[in-house]
Amino acid sequence: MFLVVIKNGITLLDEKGLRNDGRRWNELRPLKMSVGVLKRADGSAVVESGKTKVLAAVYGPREIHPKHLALPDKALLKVAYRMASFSVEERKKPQPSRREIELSKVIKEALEPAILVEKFPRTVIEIYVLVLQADGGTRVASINAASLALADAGIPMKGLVTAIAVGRIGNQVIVDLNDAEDKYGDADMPIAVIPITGEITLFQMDGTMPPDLFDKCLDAAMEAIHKIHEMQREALRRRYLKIKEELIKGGGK
Amino acid sequence: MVKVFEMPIFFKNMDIVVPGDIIAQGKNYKIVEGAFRYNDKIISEVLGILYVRENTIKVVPLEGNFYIPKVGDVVIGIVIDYNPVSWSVDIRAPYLARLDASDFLGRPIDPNREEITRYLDVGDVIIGKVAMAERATNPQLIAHGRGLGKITEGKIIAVPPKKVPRILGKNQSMIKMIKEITKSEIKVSNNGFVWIKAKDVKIESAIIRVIRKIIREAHVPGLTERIREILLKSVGSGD
Repeated sequence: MFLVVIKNGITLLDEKGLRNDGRRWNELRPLKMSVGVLKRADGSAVVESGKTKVLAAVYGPREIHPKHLALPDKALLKVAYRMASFSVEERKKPQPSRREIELSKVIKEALEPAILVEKFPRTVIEIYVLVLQADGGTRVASINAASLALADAGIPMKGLVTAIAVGRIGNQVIVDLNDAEDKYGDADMPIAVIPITGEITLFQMDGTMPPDLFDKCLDAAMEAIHKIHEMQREALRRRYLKIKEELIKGGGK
Repeated sequence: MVKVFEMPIFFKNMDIVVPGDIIAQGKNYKIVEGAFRYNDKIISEVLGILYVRENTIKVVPLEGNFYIPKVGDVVIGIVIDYNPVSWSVDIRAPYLARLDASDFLGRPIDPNREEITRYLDVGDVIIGKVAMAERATNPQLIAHGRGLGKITEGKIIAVPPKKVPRILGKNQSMIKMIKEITKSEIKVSNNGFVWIKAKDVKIESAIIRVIRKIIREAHVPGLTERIREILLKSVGSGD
């Protein structure tokens, strides 16, 4: 018993309740995370969520230039979110757009509460996020990648930041929206949380949402966030466990 | 009556923890470094190795390419600038360190009579001690005294500053062992520079190789023994 929703020739929900890419309502896209992918960066990570692919690099804490930007009591966090010109179907002009500048700010504000910036006064922590391929949910993938890269850079944090987009098509709550659902769905709600303290550091919504569905959305988001958080922890530890295993197999040589 | 405290702990000693992992619960643990308290939980703040000894908790970071100066640290730095009475030294920290001429020469200097570049010039390397490190001001160094001063020979390699404790080893056991076997002079600075003065190039490269290995395998127990084996094989028992 599902309502079929077709918009702009795209079947957003079919009669079995499956979405346009065959997922159930609370199913995440296949998620891949790897840490330490860039040699020259202090910390780096790649997050792939379905067709969305995001690369994040972290530098610092390091000396700030120009000096007058320095904050006397904490580190300045600089975030640059950029989309590669080949990341979308029609070539994106390389010049930073309004949207990119806004998302840089939003991502910065989502990460800052988790970072113990007060440990590094008068310094800067730089985060570069590059969207290699965009298929919806790039801001949440960026936050997931950036928080992994921060941990990989050894920067002290209250906890990892985990993000997910939820939304609705008609009366159906959906988790982890792709591009089509983002464009033609009725609501899109990206959320970022520090799971350990339960702080919500990013909360946006595009579209309309009745109150009862809103609660359902939030619950679904939290469930997904715990799943992703576990994967993030795993991704960080995997590299070290690999070296450990290698040594144990090789008889300590 | 003796009050029994519940002290649950969720990880084993030497486990790898990531930021946000709940290490333990209860008010009776003492945090040495790398963790913070949230309500009654103790949470890791870095990606690192957990050390639990009785009721102390310590998370030693595995990553981190930065160095934050602490009073008493031994640092190797490169002179990058000077003024009539002091030098600016790059110690790989987000802050430039200042070395006063008198703290290097051990006597007051009259800038009208002598130029300090006679003693240290841009590009020179010094080994010093952090004399002052505060939040609001840049750190100050002292490079006068035993084992401190200008470096004029040997080789310096850079390592991630967070791996320095592993290169030194418990009670300096690792570095002592390397020094003994290779019969070389080695100084490991807290800011992640290793100064090596070896008899010949072969020994020097052997030392560099094992240091690279320590960095890679810092989190795997039994490191000292593995390094000893490798060193003995490549250098011999040292005559």
